[in-house]
Amino acid sequence: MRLPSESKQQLFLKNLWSENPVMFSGLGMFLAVAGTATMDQAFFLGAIVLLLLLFNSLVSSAVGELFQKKVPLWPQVILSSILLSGLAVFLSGAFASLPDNTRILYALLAASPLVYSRSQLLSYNTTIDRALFDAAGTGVGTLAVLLAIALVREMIGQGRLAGFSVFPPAPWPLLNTLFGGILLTGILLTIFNLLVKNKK
Amino acid sequence: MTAPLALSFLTGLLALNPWISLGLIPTAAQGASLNHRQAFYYGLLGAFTMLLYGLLAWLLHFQIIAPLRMAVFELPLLLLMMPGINWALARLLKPWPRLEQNLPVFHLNFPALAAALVLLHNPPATFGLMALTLLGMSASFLASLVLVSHLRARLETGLFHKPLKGWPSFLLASGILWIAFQGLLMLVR
Repeated sequence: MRLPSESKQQLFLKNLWSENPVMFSGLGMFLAVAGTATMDQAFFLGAIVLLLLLFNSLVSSAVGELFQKKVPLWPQVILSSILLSGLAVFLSGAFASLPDNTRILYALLAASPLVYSRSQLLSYNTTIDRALFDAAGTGVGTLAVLLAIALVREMIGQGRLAGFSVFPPAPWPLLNTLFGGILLTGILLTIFNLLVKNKK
Repeated sequence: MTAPLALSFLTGLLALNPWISLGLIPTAAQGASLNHRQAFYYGLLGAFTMLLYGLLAWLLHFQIIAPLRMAVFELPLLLLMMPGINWALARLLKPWPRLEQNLPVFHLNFPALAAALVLLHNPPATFGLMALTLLGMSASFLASLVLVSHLRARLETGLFHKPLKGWPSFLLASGILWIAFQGLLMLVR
């Protein structure tokens, strides 16, 4: 729950770790499972999530401040899909170097609850700067989770990292499949439960 | 004669369905109830929505977007179709409130969009083969959702360490389910 007394920094840090969207609420689990085959893919999708969160929160809080109204979900979905389509034109080169499923996951972001979570829950009801810090915490938190999973998958599943060979024969190639994404997300959630949820 | 038809259905059922090809099993389970009966109705509605939405997405892509070279408008148009689908389904399913109450499927009919996108990225050769592939994908959604609901219900009452309770144990079980689907796929191949 967001308290009016929470500072912008507290909002950012809360979403980054203790209320991380993927580990605390299970939002964007499909990205953690399917969008983490390589570090490049995880960074690309995480950065797009961050951008969409900031965009939606900015729109929602600006409309909230100017008209004291909440932007309904559907106009936001259409706006986000237009933004994604426009961006895809400039990013076509990047798609070519990423795994095959990246284009589908990218398009699926337009319907993902993750990118609308902050704008529908908090942003319309607060100032623009607080909304942006809140969205940034959520986006960076998601990006960090994706990168953490991708790091392990790439190192152990493919035996390489950032283009360099780390373990010449990959120690566990199964992690390179979607099973690796599912398993590592499960392990990460277990660690999160141990460190955060069970302490509360 | 019937081999390509059977193959299209099996491709949809095992290879192209987003629960396996995109690893959406945990996401699909997020909207499903632990009660088997409710999960079945939810799965049935999801399968029906996927079928309808997939057909419309195919027509949109091959009759409007591709001939007019308007790829940049495809995603917004696909999402604009969603409220229309919801409205039509809500009216159509009024006599069956058990189905209607589950609308939209998960968030903004997420599984239907996933199925349509996978289909458009791996287009079968003809409309008939596409319809059969889509039917396979829908059947797979229904089957995996009922399975997943059963699995979640069993895991909720299972004896686990506290940190493993809930999603972590379910994700580990989903991983095994994914491997089982892969095994079936290898048999078909």
